[in-house]
Amino acid sequence: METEQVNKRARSSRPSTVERRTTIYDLPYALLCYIISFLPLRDAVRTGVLAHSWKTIWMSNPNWNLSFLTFPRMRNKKQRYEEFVDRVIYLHAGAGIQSMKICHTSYDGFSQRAQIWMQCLVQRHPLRELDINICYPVLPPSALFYCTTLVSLRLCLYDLSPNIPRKARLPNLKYLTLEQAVFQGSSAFQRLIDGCPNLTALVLKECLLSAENDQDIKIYHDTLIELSIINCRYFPSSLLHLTAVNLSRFAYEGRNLQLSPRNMCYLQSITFARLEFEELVDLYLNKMNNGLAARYGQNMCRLLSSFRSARGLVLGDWCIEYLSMAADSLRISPLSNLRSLNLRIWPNSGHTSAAAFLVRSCPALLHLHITLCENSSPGLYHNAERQRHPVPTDILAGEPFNHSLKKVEIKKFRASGDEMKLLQYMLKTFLVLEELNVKFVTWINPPLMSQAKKKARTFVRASPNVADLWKVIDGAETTPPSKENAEVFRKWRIKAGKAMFILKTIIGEELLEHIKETDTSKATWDTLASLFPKKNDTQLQLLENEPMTI
Amino acid sequence: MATTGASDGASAAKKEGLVTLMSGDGEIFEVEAAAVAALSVTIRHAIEEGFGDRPIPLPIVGARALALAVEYCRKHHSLGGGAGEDSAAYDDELRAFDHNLAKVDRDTLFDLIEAANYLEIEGLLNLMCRTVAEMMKGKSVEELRRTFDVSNDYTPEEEEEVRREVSWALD
Repeated sequence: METEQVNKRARSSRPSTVERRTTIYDLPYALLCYIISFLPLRDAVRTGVLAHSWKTIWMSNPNWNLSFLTFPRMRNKKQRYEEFVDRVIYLHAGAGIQSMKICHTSYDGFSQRAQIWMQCLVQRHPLRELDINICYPVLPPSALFYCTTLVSLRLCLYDLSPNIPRKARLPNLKYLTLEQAVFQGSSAFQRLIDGCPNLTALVLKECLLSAENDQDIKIYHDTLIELSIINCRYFPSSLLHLTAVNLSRFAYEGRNLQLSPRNMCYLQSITFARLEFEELVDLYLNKMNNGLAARYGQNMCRLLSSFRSARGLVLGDWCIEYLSMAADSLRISPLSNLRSLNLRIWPNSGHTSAAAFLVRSCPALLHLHITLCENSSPGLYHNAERQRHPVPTDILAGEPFNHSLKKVEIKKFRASGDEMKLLQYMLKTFLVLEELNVKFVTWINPPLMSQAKKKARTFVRASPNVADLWKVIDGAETTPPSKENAEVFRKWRIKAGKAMFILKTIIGEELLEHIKETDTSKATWDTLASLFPKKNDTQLQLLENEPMTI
Repeated sequence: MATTGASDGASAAKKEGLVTLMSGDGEIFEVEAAAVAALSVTIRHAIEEGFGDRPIPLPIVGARALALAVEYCRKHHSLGGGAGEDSAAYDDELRAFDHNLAKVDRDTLFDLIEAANYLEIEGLLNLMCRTVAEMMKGKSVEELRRTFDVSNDYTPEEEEEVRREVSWALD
């Protein structure tokens, strides 16, 4: 390969023809192990049959991913799988296992193997990463909580309460994931994370976090940067006491989260937050009657107000529902650092008004994504069903103001009344918008779809400042005016942006991918025109006429 | 790519300079110190220890493998380090280069693995080991023995035994 480029001066007297031939045997043992570590399990094991010297090479691999599901099908699979894991762990031939991932879906607990595996892994191997999912309640051996080498640990406990030793210490642990663990009171849990002085990411999934005598959930940690609490269970009155000065990413899924008011200040360090609340509709309807839902709304406002340095925020549909319940006392302090906001809403006036309120509270917002949910909450979804909600403010009323938002994406648009209002609000408010991308739902039947598109078209025609847009598309004003004339340039940008939007909304989805790359509306038009051969005049005519109807 | 930070020590001392490498079979190569030192830990250390003016002896690296390794370092140094607008295009070019390099014949392949291991060029070692693993994938025991010249030193009884233990991996 291009060896002539290398400046070489042959100075040797020895002819280079006596070069010895390198075979796979000349490679150092460690390199052979390295090569075999790239092979899938079956191929790796097969090399053991080649010759004596190959017999144990595959067993020296430091990284293992042993899943029962991907283990080859055979007679007596469970037993063979367990024997194989035994062999990998006990007969390891290299410098020790560093990473072990076990997923055993048909463990029966009779053999007590799983405990011994864990015990052996942490005591005899320089284990750095352990991900063990036995799909059976297996108590981790206490040695696990004294492992000095572990960096990453994932434990699935299937509703067992782990015995955290009093002096548990995992000095190098950085990533901890606990699934379906039961903590009797917060002290055992706190003892565990106290023993991990370097923990940076903690995931609690489907854990039971509070006990009868100790209802509050307490998480105190100094180095924690990332915290996810996913579908955990606790008492309805439990408060989360969260004290983590370095926390930067926070994700929460599950029931309404109540933070202890004293600890709200610790959310100020968060730069990215994702909140997705879940509710059972029937219970929620009850909560509306006894005023709990409105309290949730105020709680939501308090939560949002404390994300003061957040740059990105993702809110699920129930968060918006809570906010819409607090309509009369909706007040949050401005989220002046927020750049990107991602909302999931229902197409009713309460939710659109809450969304508009949120956008107003984020003065520095640049990107807005809105996904419209499907009807999953009967009794709450449509305007007609929302008689018990506070009356939302009309988003189109009130003072118009200038928002600096650059890019908006709306997904699953169906052009219903409130969605159109939201769109109208955006065209009115976001004057420097550069891209407005509306994606229609894909599952509605074609007549409904074309009806929805027609509606969107009619609306855009009716909205102000659109009349002279056609000039931008048609080629009269395709080149941007010089930047010196700032005001004219700004106006052109708005026009071009809106023209781009119209093109994106009214043409079919199948054409969209062709124009994704183009950046001016003229270019979009040209791309479209070039897609249709000249002789196909009717098609082109159709295409030309469609935007004309605006 | 670890070109910027890693090569500081070497390239600061000998910017735009050349370094001389001597392969195991006595051939002399004059190459850009910065490029090679950025990717090869061994050569970086040698330069830091003051080998800069004398030829650096690389006893177990053959001339052919060394030429390829140097070519690899040059390419990756000039393209891999440069982030920015063209990085996507560079990435494609690098991938194409790596892809071509992996097509060498089997003997050169092992030479190159040894060379990369000795010179501690992590990217090259990784690339070549993956190539060998790719060659091993999906082959039966007999095919593997043929491809890699492995002579079977099991007695028939022993082989029977070994095969039985891992029978699930053989069919």
